[in-house]
Amino acid sequence: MGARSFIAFTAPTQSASPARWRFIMVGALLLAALAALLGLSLLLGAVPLEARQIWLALSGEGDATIHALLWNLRLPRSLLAVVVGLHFALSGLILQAVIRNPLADPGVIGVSSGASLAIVAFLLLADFINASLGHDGGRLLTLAGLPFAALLGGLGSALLVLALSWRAAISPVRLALNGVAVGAVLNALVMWIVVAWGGARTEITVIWLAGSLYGRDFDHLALLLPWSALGLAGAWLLLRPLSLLRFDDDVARGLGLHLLRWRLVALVVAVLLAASAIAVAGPIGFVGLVIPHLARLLVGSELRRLLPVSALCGAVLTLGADTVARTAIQPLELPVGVLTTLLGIPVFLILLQRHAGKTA
Amino acid sequence: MSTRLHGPAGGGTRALIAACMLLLGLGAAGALLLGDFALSPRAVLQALLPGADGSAAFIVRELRLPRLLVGVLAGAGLGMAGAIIQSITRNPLGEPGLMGVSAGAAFGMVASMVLFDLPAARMLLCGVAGGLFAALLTFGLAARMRLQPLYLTLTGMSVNLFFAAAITLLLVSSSVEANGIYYWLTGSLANRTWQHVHLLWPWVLLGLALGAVCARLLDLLALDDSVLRALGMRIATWRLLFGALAVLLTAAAVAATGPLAFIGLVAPHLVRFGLRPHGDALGHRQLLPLSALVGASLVCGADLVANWRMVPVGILCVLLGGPLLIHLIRKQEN
Repeated sequence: MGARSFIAFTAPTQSASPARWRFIMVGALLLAALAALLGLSLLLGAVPLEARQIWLALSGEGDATIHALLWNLRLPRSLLAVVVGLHFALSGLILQAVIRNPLADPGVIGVSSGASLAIVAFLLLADFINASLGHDGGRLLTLAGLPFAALLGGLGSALLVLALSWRAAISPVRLALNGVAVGAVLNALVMWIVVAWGGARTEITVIWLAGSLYGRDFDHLALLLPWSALGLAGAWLLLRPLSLLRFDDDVARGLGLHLLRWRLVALVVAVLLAASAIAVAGPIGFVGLVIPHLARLLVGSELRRLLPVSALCGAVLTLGADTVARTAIQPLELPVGVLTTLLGIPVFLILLQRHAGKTA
Repeated sequence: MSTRLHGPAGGGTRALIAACMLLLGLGAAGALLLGDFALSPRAVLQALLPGADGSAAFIVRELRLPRLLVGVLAGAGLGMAGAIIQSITRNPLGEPGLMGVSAGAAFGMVASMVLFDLPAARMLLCGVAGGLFAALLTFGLAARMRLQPLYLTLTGMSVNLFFAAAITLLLVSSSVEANGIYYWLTGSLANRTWQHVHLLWPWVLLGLALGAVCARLLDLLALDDSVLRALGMRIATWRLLFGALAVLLTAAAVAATGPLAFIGLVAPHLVRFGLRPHGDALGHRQLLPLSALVGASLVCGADLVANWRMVPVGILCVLLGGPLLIHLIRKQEN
C-alpha cells in the first residue's frame, strides 16, 4: 500500500504538463463562473435590478434606495456566501485528508453541532451578563466572541468523536456514525436551550441552526475575514504535511513527518475554518463533504491543486445555493443549509456505497 | 427451544415488570397531580370518578389524562416497533428513527397537511406511506452493503436527515402556520387531546395483538437464512410484513407525538439488560410486550421531567438514547 501510494505521489511529475493545463483551465472556468454568479446574485432578488443600476450604485451614483439595497443587503450577503463556502470546502478537504476518511465533513463528524452548542450557550451567557450588568449594547462585542466559542465547541466535539471512534485504526463508517450520534445528542441540547431560554429569539435561532445567510451585512463579513486569513495561512502551511499524511503512517514518518503534531494542527485548522463560518452563517451542511470529491474529479488528488479548486468550488456552490434559496420561492426564502443538505445526502450515500464496495 | 427460553427468566421478568410499573405509576401520578394548577390526590381521584364536574374534573379528564395516555401508547408502540426492527434486521442498532422511518412518516404527514390539506385519518395513511418509502429506501441502499449493522444504521440516519431537511423545505416554502408543526417535530406531549388518544390506541392494540400472535414467527426469523429456506419459509415476505407493522406503529406514534427518537432503541436493550443473563435468548413472546411496557414507562418518566422543566419530551429522549447508541456502536465489530 505504502509503496503504491508513493509511486502515485511521484508520478504526476511525469505528466505534469497536461495536469497543469487542466488545473489552469478548471481554475479559470471556476473563476468565470464565480464572477457570473456574483453578478447574477446582485441582479436577482425581491427587487430585480438591471446591470446599469448596479453599476451606478457601485460607483456611488444613482438611486439612494438601490444604493442601500446593494451595499447593505445583496453585496455583503453574496460576498459572505463566497467566503463561507470557501471555509466549509477547505475544512472538509483538510478533514478528509487528515483522518483519511472519504465521509468526513464538519457536519458529519460533529464539529457543527459542537460549535452550535457553544454558540447558543455563549449567547445565553452573554445575555445573562448583559442583563445583570444592566447595559444592553455590546452586539459587536458579542459577535466578535462567537467564533472563539464556536472554535472551542467544535474542537471539543471533534476530539470527543475521535476518541469514541479510536481503535487500532479509525474506521470511516464508525467515525461517521459516532459523529452523527454525538451530533444528534448535542443538537438536542441546543434545542433544549433554545426552547427553554430562547424567548423572542427562538425563530431566528432555528433558522440560523438550519444554516442561513439571511440579513447578513458587512459587520459579519469583517468579523469573518481575519479568520479566513488565518485559515488560509494554516491551509497553505499544511500543504506538504497533509500530502504526506495521506500515506501509511510508516511512510510518512520515514519522510520525516511528526505525525501527531501535524494531525493536531490540521484538525485545529479544519475546525477553525468550519467554526468561524458557523458563527456567522450557521452550519451549512455537506458543502465540506461534497466539494472535495467534486474537486478531485476535476483536477485529481494532488493537494496543491486540490486546495484552490476546492475553495473556488465551495464558493460557487454556496453562492449558487444561496441565490436559489432566496429567489426560488419569493417572497419567502429557504435556509441555504436545507438546500445543501438535500443535495449533499445523496452524494454521501453514494460515497458510502462506494466505500462499502471497496471494503467488501 | 421455547421452554429453555421461557423457564429461567421468570424472576427477572417479574422484577423488570415491577420496576416498569413503579416508573409508570410515578409518571402517571406526576402527570395527573402536577402542573400549573396543583391538585391534591383526593381531588384527582374524585375527578376521575364518573359524574364528577367542575374545573378539577375538566383539567384532569380533558387536559392531563389524554396527555398521559398518549405518552403511554406512543411509548408502547415505539418500544415494540424497535424490538421488531432489531429482530428482522438482526441489527442491535435498529430503531425507527435510525432506519429513516420516523422522518419519512413525519414527511408524509407534513406533506399531506401542507400540500393537500387532508383530514387526520388520511394523514396517518400518508405517514405510513412515507415511513414505508423511507424504510424501503434505506434497505434498498443498505442491501447493496449486505445490511451490515454499521452501514445500515449510517444509511438510515442519512435518510432520516434527508427527510428532516425535506420537511423544513416544505414548511418554509408553504404559507401554512408552521410554529405548531415545528414544536410537534421536536416530539412533544403538550396539549394532547382525546383525539390523539383515539388516533393511537387501535393501532397500538392491534400491534400488541399481532405481536403476541406472531411471536413464534419472529423467533423463527432470527434463525439463519439457510435454515429458514430449508424450512420452506418465505423470508422476504415475512420480513416485509413485520417491517410494515413496525412502520405502522411508528407512524401512529409520530402522528400523535412527533418523532420521539431512540425510544425504540432503548426499550428492547433495557429489557435484555434487565433480564441478564437470559436477556439475549429472550423469545419474542416476552420481548415484545416487555419492550412495549419499558417504552411506555420511559416516555412517561421522561414526560414527568419534561412537564417539570417545560422541555419537549423528544429532546429528553435523544439525551437518554444517544449515549446508548454510541455505546452500541463501540460494541459493534467491523
